[in-house]
Amino acid sequence: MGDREIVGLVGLGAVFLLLALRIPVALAMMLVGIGGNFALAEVTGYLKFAPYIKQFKTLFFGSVANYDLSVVPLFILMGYLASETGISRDLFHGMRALVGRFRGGVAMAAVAACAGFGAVCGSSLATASTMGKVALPELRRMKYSTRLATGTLAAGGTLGILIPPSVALIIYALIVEASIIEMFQAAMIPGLIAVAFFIAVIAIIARIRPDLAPPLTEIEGQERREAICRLIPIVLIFLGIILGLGFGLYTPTPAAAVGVFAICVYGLIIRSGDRGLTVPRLTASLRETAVTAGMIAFILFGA
Amino acid sequence: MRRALDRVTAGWAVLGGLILLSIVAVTVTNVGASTADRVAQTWGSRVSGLPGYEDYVRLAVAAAIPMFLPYCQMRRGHLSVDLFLKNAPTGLNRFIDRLSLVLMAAIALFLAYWMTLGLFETKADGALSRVLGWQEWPFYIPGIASLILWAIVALSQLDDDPAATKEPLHG
Repeated sequence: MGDREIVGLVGLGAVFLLLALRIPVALAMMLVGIGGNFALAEVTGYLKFAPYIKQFKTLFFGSVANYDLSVVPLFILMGYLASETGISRDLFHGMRALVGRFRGGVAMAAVAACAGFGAVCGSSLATASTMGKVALPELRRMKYSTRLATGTLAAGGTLGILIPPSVALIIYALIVEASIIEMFQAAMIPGLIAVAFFIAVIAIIARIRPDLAPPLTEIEGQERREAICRLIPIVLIFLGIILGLGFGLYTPTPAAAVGVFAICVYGLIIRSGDRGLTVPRLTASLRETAVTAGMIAFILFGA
Repeated sequence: MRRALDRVTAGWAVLGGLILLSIVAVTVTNVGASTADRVAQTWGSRVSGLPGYEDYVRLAVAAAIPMFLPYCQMRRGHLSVDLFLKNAPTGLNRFIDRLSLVLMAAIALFLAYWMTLGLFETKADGALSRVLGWQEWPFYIPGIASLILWAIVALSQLDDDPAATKEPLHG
């Protein structure tokens, strides 16, 4: 084994050690990267350290001055705006109006709403936490078993990362220089299969153990029509993004920008007033975007 | 001091977010123009898109993303793995937390130093963006300011109790 391989192995071990010591992931990668290059220069003489370190003059700017990178904060912003403008609530009530009459229908509605929210938000955790706030109190009120309710939302939340747009897929595509659109296409069918199976499992559980998922008083008449109608703009936003990408009308960055714009319009016009997009909600979305996008940008730079 | 830093970093992040919204505005206008162009082509006429649109997005995102970093640090948003030290003694946790913050501040200052040299070099070279022909060096300034602010935030957190600081979750 040569010196270079030893430096590589030590570097790998150092990354794991730093991670175990709770050093932030991006920082650990950067420290080991710089240290490894220093070792390669000073121990093995494989490269010169001065030219390497001088790259940092333009390396950080070069890594963030990247057109393709803009898709990351835009899709993140879209997710937070969707959360702030009450899309999650409309999705849940709309889905409940559609499938609520079945046994286990509220849990099925929660899964379908998670899938719908995943279609405008690229994060599993954001999907689970946002839908949890909306659906969990309702599931509890309907006397669903806690295990079924929390299991439904935990499983449904994973759809956020699977159903396009997915921030994790975008990051992966940026790192391996793959097509973001192909990533989205590849995740779409598995996402829909997961939705179908989650709903099927709820239906089976509700049939075998009816006490876990009590029957629902059905939503009817005007209330039902209104709840279903509120789904239309959300479906249109999702279709606008996915069909636009699929038919080559635009690339991921314009798709994300159109998504942000559409959700702003939704929040300002369709859900106007206190329930819509207010200045405090917009700034809250921007701040949350800053935390997530900052974390991801630092990891991409560290990598 | 901490409250002032919190306000400054939050305001700085929102400013970065507004730059992001300017990207949305420019992009939507460009998408609208190219859609109008497709329609207009059926009558044999043309509608031009925004010239230098990608240039603008590239420079704007270069300014916006670094502006998120100080607030991300303020909220302790940088991803770390908390598997092994959960039940470690408080003293060890505090030491690791401080070590991590000092290293974070050092890296931020290291990047700020080299980026400042990069700014002078870019200015001396007269580097311009490809289509818009804008000077690139001014777009280094938000990055440098953000990195310095990031280091200040990290150092201001040295007295924090690691047990009391819960990191946000991502996924």
